[in-house]
Amino acid sequence: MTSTTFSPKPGGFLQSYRTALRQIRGVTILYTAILAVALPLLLIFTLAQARSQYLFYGVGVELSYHLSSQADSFMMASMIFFVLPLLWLFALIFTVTLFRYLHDKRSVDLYHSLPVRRENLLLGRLAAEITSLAAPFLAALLVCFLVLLIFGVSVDAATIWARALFFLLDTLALIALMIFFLVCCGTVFDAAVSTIAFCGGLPLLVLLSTEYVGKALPGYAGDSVPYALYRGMNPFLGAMALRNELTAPVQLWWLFYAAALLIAAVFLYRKRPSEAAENAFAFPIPRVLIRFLISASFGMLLGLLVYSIYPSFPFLISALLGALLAHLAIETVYRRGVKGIWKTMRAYAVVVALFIVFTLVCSTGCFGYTTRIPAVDDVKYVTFTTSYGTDHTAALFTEDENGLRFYIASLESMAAESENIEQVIALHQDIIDRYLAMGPFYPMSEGSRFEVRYTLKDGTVLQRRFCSSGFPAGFSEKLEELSCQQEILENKIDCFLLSQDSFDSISLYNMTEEGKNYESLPLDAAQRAELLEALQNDYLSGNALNPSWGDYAAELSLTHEGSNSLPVSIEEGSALAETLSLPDSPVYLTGTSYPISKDSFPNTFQFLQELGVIS
Amino acid sequence: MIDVKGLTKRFGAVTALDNISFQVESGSIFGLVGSNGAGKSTFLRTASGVYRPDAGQILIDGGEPFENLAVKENVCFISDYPFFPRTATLLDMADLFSHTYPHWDKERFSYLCSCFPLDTKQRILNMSKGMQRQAAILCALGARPTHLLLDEIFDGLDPVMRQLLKRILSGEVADRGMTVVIASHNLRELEDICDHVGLFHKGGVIFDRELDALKLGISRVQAVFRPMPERAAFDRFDLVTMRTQGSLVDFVARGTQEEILAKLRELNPAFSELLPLTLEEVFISEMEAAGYDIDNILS
Repeated sequence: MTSTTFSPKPGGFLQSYRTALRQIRGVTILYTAILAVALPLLLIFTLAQARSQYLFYGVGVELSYHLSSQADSFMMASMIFFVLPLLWLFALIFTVTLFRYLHDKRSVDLYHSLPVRRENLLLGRLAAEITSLAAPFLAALLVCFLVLLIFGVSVDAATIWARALFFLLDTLALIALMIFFLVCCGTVFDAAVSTIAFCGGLPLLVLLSTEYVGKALPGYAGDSVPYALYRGMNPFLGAMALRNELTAPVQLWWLFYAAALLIAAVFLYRKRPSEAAENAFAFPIPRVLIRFLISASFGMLLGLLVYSIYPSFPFLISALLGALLAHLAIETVYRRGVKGIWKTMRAYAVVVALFIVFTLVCSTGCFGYTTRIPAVDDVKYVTFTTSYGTDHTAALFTEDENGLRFYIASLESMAAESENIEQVIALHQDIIDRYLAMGPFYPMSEGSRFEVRYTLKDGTVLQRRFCSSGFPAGFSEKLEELSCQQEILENKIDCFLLSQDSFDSISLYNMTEEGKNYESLPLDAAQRAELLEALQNDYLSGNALNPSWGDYAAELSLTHEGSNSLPVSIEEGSALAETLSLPDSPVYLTGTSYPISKDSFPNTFQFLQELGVIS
Repeated sequence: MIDVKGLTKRFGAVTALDNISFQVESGSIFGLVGSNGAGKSTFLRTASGVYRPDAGQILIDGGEPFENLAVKENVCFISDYPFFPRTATLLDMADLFSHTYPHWDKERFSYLCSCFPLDTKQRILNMSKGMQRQAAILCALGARPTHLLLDEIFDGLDPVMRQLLKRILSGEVADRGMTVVIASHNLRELEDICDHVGLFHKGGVIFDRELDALKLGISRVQAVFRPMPERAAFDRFDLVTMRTQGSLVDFVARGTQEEILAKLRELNPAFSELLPLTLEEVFISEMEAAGYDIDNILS
């Protein structure tokens, strides 16, 4: 009798890989067919149509440029809005198909009795899934490039490949997340609930907690870190990275995240009792994590909802009620009923304790966070903004060699002179004193915001944001007085950054009683200098800071060579230049308009009258 | 050889195997019998490396099976409800086994396929319960294991297939010295094929013995006494069960037939008859002795 013995069998990885490939080959063929239609076929149609349109109508640019732009647009839209969701969908299908054996006692009997190591069983199936997802995708992309080659079209290949790599890494992270929960849970249903709850619960908790801290912790302004946290944990939200350039750290993060989850999954799988199949959980990790996420986030949600409807009602009580209801709901789902649910109240007690500690920490100023204020001598410069008022605002931008604009920053109130810094700190101190008077537990704050940002001499930044419900009496008047300081106006109002060379003409939308009319008028150098002086004097007098947009004689705009992009030169090394981190390329100001009236802009009004363009 | 030493397996608060110890010799066919929930299937799953023991050891040819490829390559387990992937045919399963078990014998598999009336290209899940079991048997035997663990294997097989299976298993044991462990409630079938039997009850092993010795070591006695001796007079027997009805005494006792007859003669019965027990009767008697309330269950 002849025995058949086998090729290399490193613990069964190749066997597991091969079996899994066969198991999903039908779905893989369907997925490949969809991709073939979505990418190369539609690309051919797009290019053929673009070429026909060009030949028939003419577009005003070269054919190669027209086809390139059409191909770029197609590849970008198709990949982001179709291929990525398709990858997610098939990742879900493949993962459930290949790993549901973990949740069936009969299949566990078969696979766990085979002479295959558990890690190889899992990794072999993962490798088969990655192959089935990535190979057709990469092949479709290669065919696309072949099509582009045939049409003689050049596209930004590096960006497309970077995007493709990101798609695969992001999808790998999603698969790793699903596998992690599939290993931890005893049923596909519980794994699905846990994955969805993690993906939804974590962003919800971070967002709502940030919202709560913004109201409960006076001065809190650091709302950027949690966003990074929840995007980095959730492959769906992680796709928002596509809005920006895909840098190596972004790609590496998803690789690292997926690897960490898979290592954890393999480690847990080796420990996983086979009898966990068809039970709720093999390990308590997801249950504890998900229950906390859901309970805490819905507690926050109800607390904030009740606060928005009836602010006098204590936040903590409504939050704990919401947390209790969410706790009972998720436990009911996990237990498929309410039997024995009261035994889980210890877990709820932990949430209660955390809520109490969290609210106490926020309402007492978080160990001096609220009351911290820098000394005048330590401050290099300070900027401040408000979310109210009708301040004249303008933005700076630059242009690259192709004429593409890049936003730099908006002009803000900024002070570097010690007298003005002192005034800002005094204003800040007034707010803190108001809160201290309300203590020991600060109430939740709301209303329009005042934000102050100190750049200290040691390079660190101290930023605080306060709501109007915490403003002391006379705050607005003091802030207005501060805003009229020459240094602050010079840094914030655009006309102080302009020179007579920054514009060559004015545009005037006249609103006088004779009727509305639009007029454009070139000015000579002397007139331009006189106009700038008039505008600056109107601001320095304080009249123009709160102009009346409802009752003005004309709307004045400055233009340079027919455009509202006004070249400016900001003194190198100045505090303003340092604040704005100006590039080497030319800097422009978006020309804004001034509502000219006799009361708000008396000097400018007079100048325009003398010019004969306004009556 | 399968050497079980203080093996314990718990599922939460339930102890399915409670510190059991026994041995299964190589080249034997060992029948596992016991009440429902006695731990027979748990034992087979532990022996096949599906479950990790909580305490104690189970050694197959000196190695523990859990995550031990060297052991598992020589062990095949067919569970009470064998699993097959949804679209798998017998050929697909053979492919899986052939790439997993190093001693896969293609010719043996082909031969077995010719013995069992199965369509190798039909989806297994579309087959009847008995045919699915046959498919599992074919794959397991094709892997040429040294240890074959079978859970309720006769369930669903028709009488012809049962006989065929018994013949094939006996042949494998005789030819290759394969060790077979069969858990079953079908004691009639086990009686035909097993040479050793282990009785499980509530996670423990009541006994494990050679079948012949077991059957010869226990007998049923029906005797009429006039007058009826005191109850204490029967203490000379190693009684398993005993019932009296008027002057008729019906009891099951351990010991050889000669020993029992000699002791019986001392009581001077008016009439006596000594009957051999079937395995099922042995099972019921031992279970009753172990506290299994059979009268109450049957009433």
